Formats: sequence, C-alpha cells, structure tokens
Amino acid sequence: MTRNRAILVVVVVFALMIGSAFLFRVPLPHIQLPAEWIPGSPVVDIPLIGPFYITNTVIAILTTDLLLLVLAFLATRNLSMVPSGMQNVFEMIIEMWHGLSVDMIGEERTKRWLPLVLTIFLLVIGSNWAELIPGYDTIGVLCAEEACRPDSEEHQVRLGAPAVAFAQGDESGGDELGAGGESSGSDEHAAVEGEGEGSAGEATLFVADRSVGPFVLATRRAEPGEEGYEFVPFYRVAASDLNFTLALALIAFVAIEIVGFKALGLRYADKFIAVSWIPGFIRGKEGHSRIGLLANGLLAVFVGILELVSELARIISYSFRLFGNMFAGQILLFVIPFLIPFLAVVPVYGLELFVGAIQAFVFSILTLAFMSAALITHEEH
Amino acid sequence: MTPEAAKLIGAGLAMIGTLGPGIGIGIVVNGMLNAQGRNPEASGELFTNMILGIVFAESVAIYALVVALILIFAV
Repeated sequence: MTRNRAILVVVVVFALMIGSAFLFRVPLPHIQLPAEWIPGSPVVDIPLIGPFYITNTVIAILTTDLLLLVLAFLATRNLSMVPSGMQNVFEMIIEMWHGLSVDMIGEERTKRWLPLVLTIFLLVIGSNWAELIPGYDTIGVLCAEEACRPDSEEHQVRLGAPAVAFAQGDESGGDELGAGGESSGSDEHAAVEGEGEGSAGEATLFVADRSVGPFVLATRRAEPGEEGYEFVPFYRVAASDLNFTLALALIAFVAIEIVGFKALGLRYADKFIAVSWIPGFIRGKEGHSRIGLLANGLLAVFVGILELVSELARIISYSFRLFGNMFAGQILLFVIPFLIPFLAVVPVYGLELFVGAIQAFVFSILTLAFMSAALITHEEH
Repeated sequence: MTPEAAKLIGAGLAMIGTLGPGIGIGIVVNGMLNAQGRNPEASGELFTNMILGIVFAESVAIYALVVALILIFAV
C-alpha cells in the first residue's frame, strides 16, 4: 500500500517537473561578468582610479555586513557561562578555528591574527549563503534610463555590455550577413561586424509580463524588434564580482607578508631575494670549495625567484578560486530553473550550500596555512 | 566559422584542463582514505590536509573554468 503511494508520488512529481517546463517558462536571465550598476545611483569620479559606482554586489555585501552585525549582537546580548542559542553557534565556530589556528601558527600569533581569519570566514560564508535567499538575482528593476540604453556610451562603462555591438545590430540586421559574405577584401570591416553580431556580452532585453501598478511581477524576454529594457537585479552574490574576491585576496596576502616579516625579519626577504650566501662565499668556508659555495648560492637565487613568483601567484589563485566557484554556482542556479522550473533546483541548492561553506573554509584555512609556511626559513626545511 | 562559434569551441577546449585536476583530486582522496584506514584517530587532521590538497588541485581546474567563462561571457 505504502509502496504504491510512493510510486504515485514519484510519478506525480515527475509529471509536474516535465509539465512545468512547458507551462511555467522561466526566462534565462542575462549573464555577464561585471557587476551591474544600480540605475539612478550616483557615480563618483575618483581621480587616477576612475569612476566609483554602486553595483548590486556592493549592496549585497553591505547587507551581509549588516546581517553579521545583527547575528553578532544576538550572540553577545546576554552572555552566559552555559551557552545557548546563537552564542552556542558562534562559540562552536570560534572554538573550531581557535584549535586549527593554534596548531598551525601558535598560541601567540593566534591572538593577533585569528580575528582577521574569522572575519574573512564569516564574511565569505555569509555572502555565499545569501545567494540562496529567494530574491537574489530575481528582484530588480527594468532600467529605462539613458545609461541603460544599450547603444549609449555610458552603458559600456557601467553595465559591461559592448555598446558597439548593439549600435550595429540595430542598424543593419539583414545587411550584415550579406556584407560579411561578399566583401572578403574589407577584412577589418567584416571582423568588427562579426564581433558585434555574435558577442555574448550583448545585453539581453526584457519586457514586463505581469505588473501591478509600478511593480513588475514577472518578465519575459523581448521579442526581436520589440522595445525591451535592461534588467538589473538589486542583489547579486558578492563573490561573483572579481573586485570583492581580489580585495579579500590582497588583504590576506598583506597579512601573510606581515606575519613573515615579523617572525623572521630580513631573513624573510632573503627567501625571495637571496643575498645571505654572498658573505660566506667571499670569506670562504672550512671544508667547502669556492665553486661549491657559488653553485649553492646561485641555486638559492633561482629558488628565491621561484618562491617570489609562487607567492605572487597566490593572489591570483585566491581570488579566482572563490570567484570561479561562486560565479559557476550562480550560472547553475540560473540554468536549472530555466530547463526544469519545478523542484529540480533543490539538489542544486544543497550543492551550493556545501560549496559556499567549503570555499569560505578554504579561503581562511589557506590564509592560516600560508602564514605557517611564512614562519619557516629555507635553512629549516 | 563565425567568431561566436570559435569562442564556444574555445570555451569547450579550455575545459579539457579539468581532466588533470580530476585525476589529482582522486589521488589525494585515495591517499587520505588509505591513511585513515591505517590510523583512524588522525581523521580530523587528515581531513583538513586533504581539503588543502584538493584545493590546490582544484585551483587549476578553476583557472580553466575562468578562461571558459571569460570566453563565453566577457570576450
């Protein structure tokens, strides 16, 4: 009896999943690498650096900050020796990290550097998990402003999609193909047009499908020739903006270098620009030939260069690891509901929950691991 | 071949780069499970180190992924 019911449930669920793909079409959102400018927000021109403008990732990270502050307030509101509720959760996290940190960089440095590592952990895990809140990437505005018009110059700067592509696509839809095929002489011309036509950075336009007053409830993609608008969501997961992950990577990198210099002093710099072998080479050493000393010294120089490169490559791998994981996760969350609107996205949510936590853990544990590696000189290993 | 097609093919080719890290992660987990079988008490530390090893292997795959993403969405 129960087995029959289970089979029935499974069949109904599958029927709903397949049916939903035809009945409730979810539009595939426009996907782009740079974060979107929030329409109407001020743009400040900073000399030397360039324009600073508020993007949806900035809003997302500020909201995450606020959320973390509220959680921290709840956790510390009435502290007790026997923890309960929020205090319990935070104590568990801190105890785990304290144990890891003491193992890796020692008691003394833990006091100084654990707050930084924990801040990175909480910020990254908070902003990654915020992606799973319904409304992220879906609630936004249809932007009709000048800067949102795909053929305006401002558009290229703020929304990332190439302005050239659109200007050409609008003017000559059918013309273009003929021109590209015929005139093999004007290669440059054809190349530019081809780029414009096929560019994936091209903005996807949306129109309001159902709306109540000024509020748009659902959108669909604009038909060719129809006047559509750029859709700009208010929230987008912060780690899908390379600026955020690069900033975190630079902070972690600087912290690691400070730990190294504090522990080893000038010997830390000697790891990368090896000069400490020169006095020994000039004076000579008992039982070592000059040639041997020189060979060892040159080897140290070479190893130092390698070390320097791998040290700097850390910034890249740090920032791209987090960025790549979260951006790919975001696309997955876009594409699955587009294919099967009903229920199929639930396992992906589970996966993203796992990936978000692992990436936050990894970012912080790598900071600790690199700190502990910075404490060791060449002679010691 | 249109530039669009070349871009998509390039993105697909870039993802071949994930083959190596896949094998690498398999080897790392294999080593961790062997070690855990011999010395179950050390599981906690082994797990942390395994995650570190996986991450280093994975970062290569992420480079390939980022190249593919840039080819599709940014170029």
